[in-house]
Amino acid sequence: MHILASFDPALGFIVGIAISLIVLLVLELYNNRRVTRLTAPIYEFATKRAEVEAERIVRDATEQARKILADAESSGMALASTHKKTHEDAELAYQQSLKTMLEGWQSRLSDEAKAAESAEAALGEKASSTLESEAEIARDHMSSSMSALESELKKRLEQEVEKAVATARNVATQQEQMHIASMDSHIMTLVRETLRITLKRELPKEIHADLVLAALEEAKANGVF
Amino acid sequence: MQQSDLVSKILSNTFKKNECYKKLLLLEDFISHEYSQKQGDVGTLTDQFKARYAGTSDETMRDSVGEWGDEFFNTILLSGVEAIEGLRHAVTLLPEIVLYVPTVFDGGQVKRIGEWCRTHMDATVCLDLRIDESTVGGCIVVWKNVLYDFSLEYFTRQHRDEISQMIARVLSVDPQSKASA
Repeated sequence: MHILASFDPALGFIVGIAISLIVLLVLELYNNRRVTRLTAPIYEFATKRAEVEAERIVRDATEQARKILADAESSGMALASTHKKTHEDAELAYQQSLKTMLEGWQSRLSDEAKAAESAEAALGEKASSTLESEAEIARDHMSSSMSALESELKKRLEQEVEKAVATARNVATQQEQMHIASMDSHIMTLVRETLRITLKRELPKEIHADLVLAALEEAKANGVF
Repeated sequence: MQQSDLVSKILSNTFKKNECYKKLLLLEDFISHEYSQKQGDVGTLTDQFKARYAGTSDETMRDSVGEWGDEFFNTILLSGVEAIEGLRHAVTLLPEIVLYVPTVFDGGQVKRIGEWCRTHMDATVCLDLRIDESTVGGCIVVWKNVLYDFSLEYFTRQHRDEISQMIARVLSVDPQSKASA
């Protein structure tokens, strides 16, 4: 009784709360274990189901992709064959047009060659006829002018001969005059030298002075002073 | 006397510039002697001048200078050596004619030629006579730096026709026929 009397009520309250908490913890653990035991099969089932669903989705997607690839391949091949055909058609058309153009040119060339041949032939005929007529005229003219030319030539020859004779006479006269002038010059030189020697030897100084004065008079007369 | 009168006096009996210079040199010598002596020689200055240069090789020149007279000598003596220097310069400025002549002329012949030049050209002209034998029959004149040939060459050229006719006559060739040719 004494022990009970001495026991503190606060302490008793705390101990009581602690025990309550421990009981609650144990209950909670127990409860968790039971919940886990109950939900485990459901979880496994959900997981399996999700895996199945995922596999199905992947299988569908793969199938779909294969289909798309096959479609794309077939359409590409169709497009390539279309293009090839178009190219072949264009090439064929070009060759055709080229052939047509060449044939046109060939025909035009042959036409023009024929035209030229015919024109040449016509021109030749015309030229030969013209030449014949002109030759005829020339023959007439030649025969008429030959006589005139002959007389003209004769006249000119006579004039040239006269000129040559006159020139020869002039040259002869000039040569004669040059010869005479040369002789005169030589004679004058001889006379001058003879006079010079004679005057130098014979003349007294007074006469030399007179000649100097005469020269000065001549210089004055010529306007030197 | 003015310097122009002195120059006229010199030119009265001198016709070449080199003679003028020689005479002025002689005069300068005499004036210098007069200045140094001054012992009162007898007679006029002309007499003293002639006496001083008597018997020397310069007698001809002495006589020529003596002809210039006492007035000339007195003027020079009064003016001194500077007057002679002035005369020398005046002579330098005189006109000069160069004549190439065939022989050496004596004083009289030079005087004749000089007087002719001073009468017909310039009253103060002086002669410069140079010897060139090829100028016989005349002379070559150089006047104001231009040469004029009046030697035998010129005169024969002037009378070429007459000479030709004369030669033709001598050689019995008819000059008329040559002229017509």
